[in-house]
Amino acid sequence: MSTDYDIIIAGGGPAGSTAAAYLAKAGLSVAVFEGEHFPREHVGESLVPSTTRVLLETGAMEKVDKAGFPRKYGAAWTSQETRKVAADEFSKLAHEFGAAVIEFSERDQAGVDRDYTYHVDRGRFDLILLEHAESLGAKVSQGTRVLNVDFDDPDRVTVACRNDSGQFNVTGRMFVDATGRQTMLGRQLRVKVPDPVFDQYAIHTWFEGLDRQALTSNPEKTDYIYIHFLPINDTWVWQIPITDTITSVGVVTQKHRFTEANADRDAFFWDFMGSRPDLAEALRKAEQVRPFKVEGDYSYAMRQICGDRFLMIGDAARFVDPIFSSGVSVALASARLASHDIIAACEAGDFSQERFRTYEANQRNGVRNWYEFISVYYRLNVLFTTFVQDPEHRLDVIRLLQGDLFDEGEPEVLRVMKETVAAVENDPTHLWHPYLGTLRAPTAAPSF
Amino acid sequence: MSADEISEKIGSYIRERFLDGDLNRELEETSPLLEWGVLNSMNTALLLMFIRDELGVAVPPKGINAGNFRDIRSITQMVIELGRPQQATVAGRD
Repeated sequence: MSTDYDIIIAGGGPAGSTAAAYLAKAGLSVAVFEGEHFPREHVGESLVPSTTRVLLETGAMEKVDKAGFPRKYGAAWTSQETRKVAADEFSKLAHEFGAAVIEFSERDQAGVDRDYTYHVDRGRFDLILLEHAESLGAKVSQGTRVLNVDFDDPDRVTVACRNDSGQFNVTGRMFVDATGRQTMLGRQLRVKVPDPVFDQYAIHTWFEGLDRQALTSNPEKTDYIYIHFLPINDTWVWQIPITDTITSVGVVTQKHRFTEANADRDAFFWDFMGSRPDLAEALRKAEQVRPFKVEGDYSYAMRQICGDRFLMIGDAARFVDPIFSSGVSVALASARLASHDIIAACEAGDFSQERFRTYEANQRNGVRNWYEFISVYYRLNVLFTTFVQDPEHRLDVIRLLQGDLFDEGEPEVLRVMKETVAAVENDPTHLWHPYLGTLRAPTAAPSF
Repeated sequence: MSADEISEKIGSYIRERFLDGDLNRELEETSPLLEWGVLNSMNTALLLMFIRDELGVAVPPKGINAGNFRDIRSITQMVIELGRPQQATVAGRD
């Protein structure tokens, strides 16, 4: 039975455009329907190095390189305490709560040809990837929203779309949901499950002229991503360079804190920032160039991420929390894994769920590893910083931070971290016991 | 290194880095470091690094508890036990 396309993808963000690139390169006919008109603003501006392998494979890297995004060589975590320490003691005190610095160059990665990744203006970055997919032959329609997918016909999918001209149907051999946190298909199929533990909330904006040097004890590392800990449980601030002069800043906290504060966005942001006077002072001197934007209800999983003639990738399959900049890397890794199975399914002419089991297993494993890493981090910050500083574990932690956690079951370092958290939880005399966070994720996480 | 030498090194470090005035003069092997508030989070981290770098002993995360860090004597005892070939006992001490 003939269809309009081989593959129909809803969503033109990094997951959708990357899948489209892989599939178009393999000679399949691909349609991408994107609801917005690019460029559009999007949160999730810092990448991790595992994205490099995917961008090289799709061929988009050359275009990304030319865009002049700030290079990201590493990541740094600060807390109020460390700022009081003389600079020559900083490296020693990386052992202290909330303070750590890592460089990606410390560990080589398969398929990655450089020791940096990028911080990106997602408006521009996502447009580059989408246009790249188009240049490879994908049919891209912006301003076109996917409303519904009809799976009744066993031989094809019928996708209902709407744009400015009205509603229309297209048919394909299978459907890929890459609609991000809209989770279009997850909602249609009613398989979306809110995370039982994480209910985080982010409020963010861009600042012009922020003195990044004032916020670090190492002036050579101003282009790192900074995670600044606030002296409030489970609350932190991201600082991401977007251009030479523009810096993205966001506060992440538990949603109930925002609800209880009963304040507007501006007041809430500045009130929380005031708990770190050094940060607040530097931000006051800079100019806010975008209105505050909020993100909430973003921690969820899906009971099902693939089935006959469909699968979900990127945020459309699962999202947890932005702490380790995992969003775009999960999008790209899942697009890569999914494309592999989709191409094989096309060759076999069989689009049954069984065909996507490899994708499902790898995707669930990778995201579960991210989830557990994030959970351990929130539960006991000091453990993370201690492991970063410990020569025995440092490279294994950097490997997680680089985004290399889709390949094997459970990385050994994660197992040891979880075991240590349990030991601290069970020993009230442990000197770290008072520092346990309020989120107890590992036991309550969805098991799929 | 004998127990006395280890105890002396740890005592000197705590005196030099964390104490001044009266407490400095009063510090003994059995002074309750946690009760005194000497071993706050920052100082504990510094002391762990001192033990690792100067005494050659890595304290496993599970061993960072009140039993091991009560006073100079207990810290010394822990360092000695961790320095022995069979290191398992103190590490898991609750």
